[in-house]
Amino acid sequence: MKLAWKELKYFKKKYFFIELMIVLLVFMVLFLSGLANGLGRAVSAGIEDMDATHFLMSDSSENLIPVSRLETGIYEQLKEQTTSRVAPLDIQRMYLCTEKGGNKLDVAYFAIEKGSFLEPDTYEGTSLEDATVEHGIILDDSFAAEGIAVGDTVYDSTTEMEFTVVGFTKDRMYGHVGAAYLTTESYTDLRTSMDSNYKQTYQAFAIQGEDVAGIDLPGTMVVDKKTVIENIPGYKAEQVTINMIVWVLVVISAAIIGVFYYIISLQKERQFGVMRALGMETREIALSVCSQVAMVACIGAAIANLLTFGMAAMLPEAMPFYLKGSSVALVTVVFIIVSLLSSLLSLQRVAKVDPIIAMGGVE
Amino acid sequence: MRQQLLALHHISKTFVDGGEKRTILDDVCLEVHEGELIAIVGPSGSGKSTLLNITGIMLEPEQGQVFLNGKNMTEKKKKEWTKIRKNEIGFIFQHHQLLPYLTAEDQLSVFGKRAKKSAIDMEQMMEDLGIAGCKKRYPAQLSGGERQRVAIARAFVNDPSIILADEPTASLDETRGRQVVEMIREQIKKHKKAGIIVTHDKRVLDLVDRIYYLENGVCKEQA
Repeated sequence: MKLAWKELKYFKKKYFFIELMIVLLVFMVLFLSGLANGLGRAVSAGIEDMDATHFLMSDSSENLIPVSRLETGIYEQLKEQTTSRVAPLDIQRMYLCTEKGGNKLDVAYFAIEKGSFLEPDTYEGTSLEDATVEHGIILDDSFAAEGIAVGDTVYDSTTEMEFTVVGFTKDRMYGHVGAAYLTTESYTDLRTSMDSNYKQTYQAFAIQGEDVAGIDLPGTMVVDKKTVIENIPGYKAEQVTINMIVWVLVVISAAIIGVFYYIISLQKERQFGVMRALGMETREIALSVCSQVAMVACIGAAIANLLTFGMAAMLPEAMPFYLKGSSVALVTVVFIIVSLLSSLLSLQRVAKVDPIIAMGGVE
Repeated sequence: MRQQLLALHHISKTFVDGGEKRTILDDVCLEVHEGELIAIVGPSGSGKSTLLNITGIMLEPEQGQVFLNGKNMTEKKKKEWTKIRKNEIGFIFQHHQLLPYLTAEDQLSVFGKRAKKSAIDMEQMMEDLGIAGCKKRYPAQLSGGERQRVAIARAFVNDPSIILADEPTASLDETRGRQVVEMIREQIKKHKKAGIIVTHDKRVLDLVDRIYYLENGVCKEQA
């Protein structure tokens, strides 16, 4: 340990560059992992941040809420079958404009019951329940970046129905589109103005709690939140792709440390020979090499973590970047473990060192 | 009678080289007593380094025994070799072979036994060797002679029975080389060790007690 640290300290320049490489690699990995989570959140946050655990939807919906259709009567039946709180939910992709015939903004309407547990927290303005206007709407903060403010009027682009912005909520997205929360009544009005034959239905019911075993309604199924999220179009494909890149990079950067150390060990073979001749056990030398790899990996990972969190604080709002403590920790720990594993390559050299090489010859 | 610290009994070693069996050492016998410094000289290829490796418990002889401090080392398992080297042998290499990233003082402590303090007063030894002022310096900040003197101190740190020096003057000029051998001699006398210098530097041979000549694997003591 002491030996390993003293060597790092003495050869500052040499190890500084190795450390720099490692910091950059880990930083890149963490950054990508932040992007992966960010993109994932851009697809799923609307569902993920809901205070619900399960969803009831029609059994032909393929776990997709917007495809599901449930008769209104089911609401009462459902309430009888579970002690958990339930709330109706409709999700509809449409367009909003800030003025009639103006630019269309993608939006995902979340139609919810006033005052239900699906109401998002607002960081500005009021909740739908407390709103005094007729058609209130709570928007995701991505709309604030478009210059919309509380009290503004926005229009549904198809029906030109007017909504008054009553509040803003943070990070509520669905399928890369900002969410907009409106009441089921407003939503029914909206649908009716598109199609006068529209008969009110619900797409799904959010269930808050674990009492779902007793729910048995014909033509319906209970799906947990995780499954709902994974089935949002594009979510799985994106996550699998980016996560694969992240893990391949973790392994590659750790392997780079391994190769570095292999070369360094080759260069130090004579030193190892001297140590062996002077009575140092292979075990001690191996421990020293391993502890050095651990130090370099840990210091590098720590600096990269600082850099990543520092940078995350400075990124613009629109960037889909989201650092999740658990995934950052996982990436960091796996990186350190794989680095140590890759140093086994060097240990195999150390084990083979013959003290005789210390004798004779000039270096 | 002075105690015998090292004895080689009828050591033989052969190598197979290109399908041909070559005798490197042929029935070599020698002994060194405490406080005695001997030299092994001979042309290159005479088997000096093989003899040194066998004496340094790094190579197994084909025949014969190595006695260190009265104990037969040839009976010991290979696993114990490292420990034997640590406890019984002090090495001084051709090139100082100090670790570049350690100060003079750390060079000694890293290889010293952890548990007990060395029986030899290392402070005094560094004083004797004229390197007391170099304790906090790295090898790169030392002169060639100082480095080799630190290496001498390192050889004594575990209070071994014998000191093996492999061409200790090779990287030094005449004055410094002579100084180094004088110092090895002094310390060996002072601490009652058995010293062996392998060298082809004839200018320092007047400093040793006895000289063995090695030629074609045959070792003869100079009368």
